[in-house]
Amino acid sequence: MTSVSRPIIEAEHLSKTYTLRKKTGRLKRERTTVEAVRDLNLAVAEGELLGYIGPNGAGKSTSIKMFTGILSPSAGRLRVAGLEPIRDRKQLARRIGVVFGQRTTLWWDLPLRDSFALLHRMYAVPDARFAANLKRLVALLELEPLLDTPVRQLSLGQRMRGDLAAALLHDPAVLYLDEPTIGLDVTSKAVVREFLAELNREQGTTIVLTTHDLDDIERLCRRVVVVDHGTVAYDGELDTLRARVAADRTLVVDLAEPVPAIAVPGAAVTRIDGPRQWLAFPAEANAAALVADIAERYELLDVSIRDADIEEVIRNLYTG
Amino acid sequence: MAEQPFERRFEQRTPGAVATYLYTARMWGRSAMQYRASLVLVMVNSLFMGSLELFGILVVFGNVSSIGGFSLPEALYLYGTAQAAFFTSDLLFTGTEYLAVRIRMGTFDSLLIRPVGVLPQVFADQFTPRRLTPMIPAFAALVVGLAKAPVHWTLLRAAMVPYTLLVGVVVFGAVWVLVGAFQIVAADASEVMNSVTYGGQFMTSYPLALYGRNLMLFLTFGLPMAYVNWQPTLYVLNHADPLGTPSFFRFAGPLFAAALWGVALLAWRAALRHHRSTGS
Ligand SMILES: Nc1ncnc2c1ncn2[C@@H]1O[C@H](COP(=O)(O)OP(=O)(O)OP(=O)(O)O)[C@@H](O)[C@H]1O
Ligand SMILES: [Mg+2]
Repeated sequence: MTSVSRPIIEAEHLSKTYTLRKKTGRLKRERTTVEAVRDLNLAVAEGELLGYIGPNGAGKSTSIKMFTGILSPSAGRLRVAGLEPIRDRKQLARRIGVVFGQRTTLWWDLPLRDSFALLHRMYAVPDARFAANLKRLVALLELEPLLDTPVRQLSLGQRMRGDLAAALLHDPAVLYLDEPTIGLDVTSKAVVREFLAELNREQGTTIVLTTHDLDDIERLCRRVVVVDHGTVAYDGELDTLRARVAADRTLVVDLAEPVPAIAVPGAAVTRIDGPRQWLAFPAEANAAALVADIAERYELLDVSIRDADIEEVIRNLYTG
Repeated sequence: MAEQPFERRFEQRTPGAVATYLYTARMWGRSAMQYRASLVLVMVNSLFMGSLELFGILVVFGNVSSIGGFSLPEALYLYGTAQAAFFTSDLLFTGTEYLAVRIRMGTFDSLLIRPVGVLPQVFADQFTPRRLTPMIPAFAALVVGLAKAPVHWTLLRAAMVPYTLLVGVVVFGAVWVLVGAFQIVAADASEVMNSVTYGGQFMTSYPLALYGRNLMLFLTFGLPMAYVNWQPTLYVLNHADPLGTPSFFRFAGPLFAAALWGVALLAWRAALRHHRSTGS
């Protein structure tokens, strides 16, 4: 049966203004305001895995704090899982999981197992359900050998896996991840990514993923929302984003011998390394013609063409 | 799909305030036990300091036979009730003191994402068995004072002793809530508030008459500190109030405690609202 259901996260004209009081003199205090989020509109359907990205200070964390009931919006309407985050904080807490990559919610001096046991009680997860979830998460995140280790002795990657498990023991419908891969090595990142993909696929958990590692986004998310200056700058498929923001492609040529920068119309050298040169050319230009042009004037050993990577695409979007 | 979307909730209810407090305090207590050696050292030290203070009172009474109309056993009893009530409240509620740090570090957020009350989690914050030791000299003074003081025991007088402690703990509890509210609003002013609670502890430890009439009036009517132990102690020891307050004041503690809790909880809610709108 298909039915048009309400989005699990609905934000309409959401704004958040911080008021700061700065000491400017002995007694004088000046008020300044920061519009961290302004007129943000967002609808996330149940089961989506959303990439929520943007430059530093764009308002990503601030909006996630509103989605979780930590901060109250200054203006606008917000519903998560049909609830009003601030008013229904406790009810909402049972339906969401939150991971802040920058800080852990695990108990520093106690074994990982103890943090999990506390969450079992706090979220009133039925015993059988808890046991099953714990077993599943421990297996997926390879936590078995770590369960009796005090959290302070875990590595960053191990702790992050612990935090992920902790956020999911109560079967939340929505999982918010604010920079979960920060500081992780390649292997740990891969484990986390794989885990998130599977969680989304198998459990249908809605995931909102904030990250500065665009590899995370490329591997996990079909839909991305780019936030800039507190408002949505782009909302749609990753591929469309790539096409929309015309970023240059790169032609890498290996010449027979080192030469000064190649001069051809329609392309510009961006880097030289011995006999190898990198040329940027517009995405819509004809690569074959360009190669032919160069081959006419220089002795070519090898060529390769690289698409603009997402990082570049995003950078263009921010500055454009 | 289910008729109610997003519904993955379980039937069981999440813990109430007391259960939340106990779960959280247990975690902190066990965390503290990980550092057994330093725990023991600090406990021994605070036992020593507490005993030293008690010794100071004995020294003073070596020269005079009464202070503010109170004999040594009476003063010991008064001191004991105040200290016992304060340190019991310290044991139970002092977590609010760490709020400013939590807010500055941003770890307060992690209390807000749990499906349980915030205040019980805050009360239990940094709970440590270390806070048990100052209660030893406090209760020792109380018991010795009671045994030696010339009290005409009646059932009501006997009941007044635990009553004094209970009211004291409850009143100080409300003060801790106020401390928490204040810490949230002025996350950098934790020292200011320390002088209020520790000041209160000091004042209730000595006969109020020592501080002069105006201050006494202030404490009786402004702050309900007097109800922590002064008024009920007047009754137990059969002293007249130097201020001449009507005798029902001896029993008015619960009213004051309730009023103070009302104020404290309002302040707490306002502080939470403030935090949610400022984010720091
Ligand atoms: N508690 C606060 N008080 C005042 N201003 C704040 C507070 N938190 C954030 N801001 C400001 O609000 C804006 C948005 O911050 P936010 O943390 O939401 O950005 P972000 O997108 O998460 O950035 P980053 O990628 O660096 O994590 C910034 O200008 C920041 O300085
Ligand atoms: Mg952030």
